[in-house]
This record gives sequence, structure tokens and C-alpha cells, in this order.
Amino acid sequence: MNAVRRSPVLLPVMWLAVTLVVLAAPYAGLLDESWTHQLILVALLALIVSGLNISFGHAGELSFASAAMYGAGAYVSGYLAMEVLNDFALALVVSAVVGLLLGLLTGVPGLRLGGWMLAVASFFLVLLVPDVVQIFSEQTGGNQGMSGIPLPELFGFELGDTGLYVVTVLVTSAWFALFRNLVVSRLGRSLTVLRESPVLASSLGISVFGLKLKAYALSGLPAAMAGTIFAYLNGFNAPGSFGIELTMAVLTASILGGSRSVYGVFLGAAVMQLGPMRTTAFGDYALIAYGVLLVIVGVLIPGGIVGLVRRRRRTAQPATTAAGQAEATARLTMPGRRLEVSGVSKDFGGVRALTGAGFVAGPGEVVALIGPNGSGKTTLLNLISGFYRVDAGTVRLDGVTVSGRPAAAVARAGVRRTFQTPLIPGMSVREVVASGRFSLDRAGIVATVLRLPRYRRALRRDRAAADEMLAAAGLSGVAAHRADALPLGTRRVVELARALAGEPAVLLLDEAASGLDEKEVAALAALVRAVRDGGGTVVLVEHDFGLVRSLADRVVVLSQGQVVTEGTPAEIAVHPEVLQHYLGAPGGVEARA
Amino acid sequence: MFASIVSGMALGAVYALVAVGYNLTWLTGKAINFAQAGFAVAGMFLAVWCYGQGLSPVAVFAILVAAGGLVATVEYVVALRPLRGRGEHAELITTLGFSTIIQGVILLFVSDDALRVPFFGPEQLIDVPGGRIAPVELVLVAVAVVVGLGAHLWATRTRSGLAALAQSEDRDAALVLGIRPERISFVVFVVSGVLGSVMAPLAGPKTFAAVALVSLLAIKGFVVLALGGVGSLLGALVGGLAIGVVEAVVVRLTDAAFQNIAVFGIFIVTLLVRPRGLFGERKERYV
Amino acid sequence: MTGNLLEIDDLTCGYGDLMVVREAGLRVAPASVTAVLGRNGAGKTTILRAVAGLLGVRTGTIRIDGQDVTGAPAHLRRSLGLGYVQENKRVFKRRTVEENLMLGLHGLGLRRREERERADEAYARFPVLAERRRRPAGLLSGGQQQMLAISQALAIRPRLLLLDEPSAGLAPSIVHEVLNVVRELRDRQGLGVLLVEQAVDTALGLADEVTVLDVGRVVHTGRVGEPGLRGVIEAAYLAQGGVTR
Repeated sequence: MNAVRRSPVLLPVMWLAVTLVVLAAPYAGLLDESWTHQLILVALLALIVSGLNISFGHAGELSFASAAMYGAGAYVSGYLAMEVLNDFALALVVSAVVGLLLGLLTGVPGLRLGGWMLAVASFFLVLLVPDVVQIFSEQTGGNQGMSGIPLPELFGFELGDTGLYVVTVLVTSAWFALFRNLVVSRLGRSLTVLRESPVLASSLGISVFGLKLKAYALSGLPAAMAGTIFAYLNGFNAPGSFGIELTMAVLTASILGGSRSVYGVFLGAAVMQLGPMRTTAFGDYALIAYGVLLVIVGVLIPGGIVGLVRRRRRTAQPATTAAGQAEATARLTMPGRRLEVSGVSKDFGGVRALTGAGFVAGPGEVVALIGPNGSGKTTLLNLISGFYRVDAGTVRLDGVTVSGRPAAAVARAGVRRTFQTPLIPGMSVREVVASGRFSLDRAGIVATVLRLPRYRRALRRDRAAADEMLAAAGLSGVAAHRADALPLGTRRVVELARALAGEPAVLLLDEAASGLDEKEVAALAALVRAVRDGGGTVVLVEHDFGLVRSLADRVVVLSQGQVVTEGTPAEIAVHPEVLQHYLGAPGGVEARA
Repeated sequence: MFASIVSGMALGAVYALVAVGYNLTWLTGKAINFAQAGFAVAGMFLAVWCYGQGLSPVAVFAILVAAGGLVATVEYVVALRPLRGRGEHAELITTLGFSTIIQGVILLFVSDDALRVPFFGPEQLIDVPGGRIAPVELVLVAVAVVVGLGAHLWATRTRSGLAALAQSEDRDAALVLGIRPERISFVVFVVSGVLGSVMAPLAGPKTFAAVALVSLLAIKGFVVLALGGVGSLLGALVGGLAIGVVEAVVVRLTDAAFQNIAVFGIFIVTLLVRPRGLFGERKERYV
Repeated sequence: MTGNLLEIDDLTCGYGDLMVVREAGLRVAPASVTAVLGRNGAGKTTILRAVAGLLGVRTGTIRIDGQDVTGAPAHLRRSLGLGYVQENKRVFKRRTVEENLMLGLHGLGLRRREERERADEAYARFPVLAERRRRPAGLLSGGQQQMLAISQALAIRPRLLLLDEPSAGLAPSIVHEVLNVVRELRDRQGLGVLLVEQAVDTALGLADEVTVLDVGRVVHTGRVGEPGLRGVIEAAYLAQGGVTR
């Protein structure tokens, strides 16, 4: 199966083959009318579930709006067929647009707040379907339902049952090809990053806002298209078809098949539609069954249902990974830029974290920020990278002010960083490192799903950059391993490699050596040195003074939110004031003799 | 108009009570029980059945308390406790599942139609400017005010309330002071569930018992949360009553179909314009 | 047994797969202060959390006043007379000063009058708190919050007190005030203290015994006033190379 997935030729061929087989089945006498009817229903459910998967499984935001978009597609199509023009293609396209817009509409409130409110808003939307239908009862037939939808026509030809089946298979196959291309792409991996950590996404230059909107919009598309088919299939639209029961069925199908799986969608849809769970068989027990399933899955799957879309548990990795790092080939050209921090102050609700702090770091330099707990080192780093806003002062890159811009913009300007606790999503090492480039060479959605040359170029560059960084960091041996399962020291190096892949102007390291053993620290230091020698600008926050001595060109000492002094590591090591600040506040309790 | 407003407040009182339930479990355990409304509606059907058996109102209340407590305990054990420390949205799915189960169970015994729930008190309508109101409506509003204020006073003025809020604010700090967060979350959860079922004999006569009410009531409770501010018990009271009044006025001025849409509108506007709600607290955010 | 208020033996604990503290052992005798020193990440706070019952241990034992509490819940340890002042001046910021003190008295079952007495004790120790009784703790200055945090822990009149970096981010005069209270309780009431501090001078000014941690392991145990103690400490802070004077 993996071979099929990876080969650029085999997969499309197989896809086409399967589509043709399914298409031809009724003509070959393999499927009778009731079966084609069932298969259409499976396809419809699969379409709706795929939409849910985009926003829920991949972006990590639970929205129940699918049923509403399904209904919107169905009603719009029915209306078009009866009052405007009976053409399947027209109805499909209009529905798709409606679905896109509705997806955006329901997502906008969700952007401002936590997942709960999006889930609630979308749930509410579904509850409103009967009311909206009633208000437009002239067009929709109100609570009586919309009846009299004619048999579908396509470019003048009437589609019979088999004709509708064929069209459904084609639409489903085409959509899922695009869906698959979306999931297995830079965009899909951006969604994974977003889902696991919006902070990480911002630090890679990905706009959380924009990406979420894309996900919401895309999730509405397939559901609405499915609505078109549904309307033509029944010739009748009842508001009750687009309610809570359908919503529960969709959610259940998504979870059954695996909310992040492409092919699992069909599995879930098939089970729900054909298996013992189908509403007609269960009848009165349907709701109870759905509810029990939700509770069970919610509880038993590690991390709950949300855990299905989270990383899996870490498993121990062999120790050989650490050895690989020692063979890092350190050849990097990384032109850095000049970082100027001046007069920066930051207040947190009455607590002064930084007062007038500033320093300069130039290309080909490693500057270390040291100081005791609470001195403001990490706050300063967060301010430089845009995660906090400065109250006063500026941060400039080669003279261009970046302070005041949101984190994603600062990252795109070239400031890349690592975190005290490595933020590593559940991807392979190579994919993690490549994700450092996601804000570079951006290819739009269309280019991505259609695999246009622009996208392919970006992908090639990603791969090249990842390979280069992996080699430089000595990670080539573990390139295919799950990154989040590796030991802490290796994860730190992976984070660093990822930051480097993004062609940073300035590299910020936040206590990268903490928690590492000697070997791991050495590997990290070697990589940092390679960056510096290649012309990069590095700023590191460190507690380990030994590391600072061996690595830093200059040391800036912070205490209680202010810069106390600056100098070379040798100067700082013997500076009497530094010792005082570092080891403890002078005065206070009398020292014992 | 006055009658409409009172009538609206009575409906709003029901929403407020649901939201108070949400807030209680939120304040003490950072968990929102989607099934809260399910307790109320199931209670309505149970009450109807009990009346049908000739049981006195006191007996009905007793049964509701027992049933509510039992089901809430089951829900806590099955759908909440296993999720300890899993992150914020985990209980959304499981309590939603539980709510769905409650709906399914109701459907097993009853048909889809709405059922009238008799009021155990006077049913004689009262004449007021603008129309007539039912006594149950006045009682509902009074009860909502009492419960809302009472919950607020408990949370802010009593020792147990103080401990409950503290452990929700900082669990570790509470642990070292001998506070048992587990116990508190459990007790308050069960009390919320009982609150839900016990309001049934009052809410039922107003809303009619219907399965479809479960989802609608649950969602409107959320709108109250958004409007009043998550975590504010007074906000739940004020927000609930306000939404009820707006609904009543909208229906009076336009059409019944706009009732829910108006509430949806309030929801969206609140989220966009004042996300923390009327009485909610501002959160410190990153840039 | 030896009558120690706290005995830790062979303690290994941490988070997930990462063991932060390894095979550590230390003692706190009655009426004495044991300081745990070491740079950031050495495992100092982790030890305190394990003693308080906020963190499970992988191996090792913890005994409070002779009683084995390894694995026991936090509230049980408190009932043995354990108080814990966490780092970062941790009080309930949304609650008032008075409420925070009352929370310190949680579960003691005291009568109103006794509660009042204890609260007044705290206000007598730190008059600046009395003036702000009704203020939310979040609005107090850092030093005042620290005073409140300590008062909250002292409300039960503990026999063993865990103090995590009481001087962090505070002006020396306030640190002085706060630690004097601790000193007095040690001298007058036999309070035992396990003190975690990054500020070495502050710690040495108060402590009787010193335990030095490096990367989770105890590298030195000694009494304050021993020759060469200072050198050992500095080495552990600055790692390879140390400081030349």
C-alpha cells in the first residue's frame, strides 16, 4: 500500500481503475437498482464526512455545520432545477459556492474563540434549518417539504437512475482525488501543525487566521455538493433530513473511519450506511446507539476523541539516534541579518518584566542572554519573536522595525526560534524539518490540490532544504522516524534544523541545552557553531554557563528585567557584579561567617 | 406587551437555569455538561408519567431528585471522570453523547410529539395589561432569581464555594491546602444534574415536553453563557432572562420562525462584539 | 527513628519519561532549615512537589515526622503538619487577601473565633496585608503576594514548611522581612524548613544545612559554615570552568 501511495504514477492509475470499475458495475450487471441507490447514499455520506474531516480531523476544530450545508446544497439545487434551469452541473457548481460561503460564515465566530463556541454555533445552525426553511417557505415548500424536483438533466440529457449513479461516482472520485491531494500536501501538513499547536504555526510564519478560514471554507464544499445529488435522488427535500440525527451520523462515521484518514472516510460511511448502524434497521435505538458510541470512543481512545487528532503516544527509540548526530556535516551558508533590540520594556499586569532592555546581534555572531530566574530572558525572546507586544522600545532587523507585528509576520520577516519545550507535531523528522519552509514559496490551494508546477517546485525545494539541514544536523539516519518519539536531545536538534530550513535572518534558541546530557549538548553546539560560521545571527538564552563560554562570542547579562552588563564570556566570568546577580541578590539576610 | 415580556422572562428563566447548571460545573471543574438540558426534559416526561400515576407533587419532586442524582452520578463516572486532565474539549463529545442517549431513551417511551405538562400549582390565568399570564410563569421567574442569586452567593460568600472556586483557579495550590478537587467537582456536578431534573415540573408547563427541546434548550443555554459570560452565575441569570424577553418580543413583532434565528443573532453578535460576555472576565492574550 | 521532620531516601521522580531527580536523599531536623541549592533545572522544585504530594515518585521514600507518606495524597500530608509555599508567589489571585487566608484554614474545623485569631496572627506579622484585606490578591505587589503566600501556608501552624524560592523577584528588604518570620518560627517554635533557593547568599544566611543538587543528583551535603562549601556551590552553578577569583 505504501508503494502505491508514494509512486506518482501508480496511485492515479489505480484511482482511475477503481473509478472505472465502480462506474461500469451496473452496466455489467453487477449491481442492481437498489444497490446503486445504496452506493449513492454511501458516496453522499462520504462526501459530507470528508468535509467534517477537513475542519475537525485536520484543523482540529469541531463544527457540526455539515448537515446545514448539506441542506443548503439540496434546497438550492432543488430550487434551481424547478425555477431556473434544470442542469446538474449548474446546480453542483452553485451549491459548491454556497457551501464554501457557508463554511466561511460558520467559521468566522469560531476564529475568535475556543472550540466550544464554534461547535455550539454550528450546532445551532443545524437547529435553525427548519426555521430558515419555514421563513422562505415560498421557495422551499416550508415544513411540508420541497416536492417536485425533476429528474436531473446534464447538458440537455436526462439522467436516469444509472445516469445519476455515474455522475455521483465521478463527482465523488474527483473530489476525493482533490481531497487526498489536499491532505497529503504542504497545506495538509500545515493543518497538522496548526492543530497541534497554533503557537508553533505562527512561529513558522503560518497565519493561523488565514489557514483556519481556508479549512472552514473547504469543509463546506463537499457537503453542499452532496446536497445537490441528494435533492435529485429523492426528488423531494424534507427539512427533517438535515437535522441532528444526520449530524450525529456524520460525526460517528468520521470517528469510525478515523478523522484524519482519507480512505477511512469510505469505511466509516459504508459502515454507517450499510451496516447494522443504519437508521432504518436501528429505528428507535439509533440515537441511543450514536450516543453510546460517542461516549465510548470519547473515553476509550487515548486522549478522547480530540486525542484521535492529536499525536500518538511516544515510544522509546533506539539509542543509535544520538550517535548519528556526532557525524554532523557542518557546511552551511546562512547569511544572517543584524538584530537591534533597543529600549524594550514590558509590563504584565503590574509586574515589570523588562525595563529598557536592549542589545545588538550581528551576522556571524552568537550572542548569549544569561541571568537568574525572573530576569526577563525568555520574555525578551518572546518579544523579539512577536509573541508578546512591546510596551516600549523597538526590535529591528537590518533597520526594519518588526516589533508590533504579529508573530507569524515576524517569522516571515526571518526571525525563527526554538521553544523551551520542543513543539514537535506527529510527523516524520524530514516532514518536521521541511515544515520550517512552509511560509516560503507559497502555493495556493488550487495549485496544491491540482499539483501544478508551482506546487511541485515548492515541494522540491522543501525536500532539498530538508535534506541539507538533516545532513548538517546529523539527522539523516532518523529522517523517516516519528519525530515526536525521539529523545529530548534529538528533538531539540530537530527543532533547530527546522528553524534553519526556514532560511532565518536571526535564530533564537530558548534554553536549548536544558535537560540534555553532554553528548547531546555537544551535538547542539556543533550545529550552532556551523550556523555562526556560515554567517548566521544567533541569539541564545542559556543557563549552562559552560556552554555559553564555549559557544558565545558575546554575553549579555540580565537581572530583574534590565541589562546589567555585556562582554565576552571570559570577561563576564570574572565580573564580580555578575556573580552577585547570578548567584543571588546582594544584601538582605546577613551571611554567616 | 407587558404580558409578552413576563412570558418571555419565564422562558428566559428556563434558559437561565440551564446556564446556571453549566456555570456551576464550569466554575468547579472547568467542564460543561451538554446533557444538562436533557435532565430537564427527561424530568418533564417523568413528571407527566408520575402525575398520571396520581402521585403528589412532593412525591414527584422526590423522585426527580433521586433520578437526577442517580443519572448525574452515572454520567460523571462514565463520561467525565475518565477524562481527567485530557484537555478542554474532551467532555464536549462525551456529554453530547450522553445527551443523545437521553434523547434516545425518551423516544423509546414516548412518541415524537410535544406533551403537555400540568402545573402542580394554580393554573388559572391572570389578567395583566397586554394579555394574560399563567401563574407558573411567575413562579419560574422567581425560582430562577432565587437559584441564580443563591448559587452566586454560595460561590462568593460561603467557605465551600470559596474552596470550589479556588481549586478551579489553581488546582495544585488548592491541593496543598487540603482541598479535594475531585470531590468538589463530583458533588457540584451531581447537584447541577439534580437542579436540571428538579426544574422540570416548573419548566414543563411552560415549554411543553418534547424531545426536540433537548438540543434547543442545550444550545440556548450556551447562548446565555456567551451573553452573560462564562463563569458568571449572575450573568447566567441576567442573560437568560434577557434572551427570553428578546425572543418573546421578536415573536410578537414578527413570526414564530424568527424566534430561534433572533437568538442565534444575539449569539453571533455577542461573540464578535463582546466575546467575554456581559459579566465575564477578560483573558490575557498573546499578540 | 531519628526524629527528623522530613526524611527523603533514594528519591527518583520526574515527568513522563524524563527523570528530573535521581536517587536524592536529604533530611530536615526539627528547628532547622535545610537549603537545597543548584541551578535551574537541577530538580529543586521537583523535590518539593514530590514531598507535597503533587508529583508521584518512581522510587524512593518520603517520611514526614516518621510516617511514610510516599504515595499518600496531598491533603493527608497537610494533616501531618506540612505547609508548602510554592514558587512564583502563588496565591489565588482572584480571591481577596482575607479569602486567601481563610483558604489556608480549610478543613481545620476551627471555630469562628479561632479562625479570627489565626488571621490576626498573619496580619500582625505582615501589617501591610491588613490594610489590603479586601483586595484581590492579584492586585498586590510581588512582595505582598509572597507575604500572603507564606501566611497562607503558616495558617495551619505547620511543623514542616516547604519554601520554594521565596526571594525570587523581590527587593532585598522584603526578602529580609519574609525570611525573618521564618527564622523566628524556627527559633521559637521548632519549625523545620526545606528551603529551595537560587540566590545562594540569601539561602546561606538562613540555612543550617545545605544540600547541593546538580542535574537531579545530590552532589554535596553539609553544614553551613563548613570551609570550602562556597566553592562546591559555585562549581555546581557555573559548571565546567567555574569562576576564577
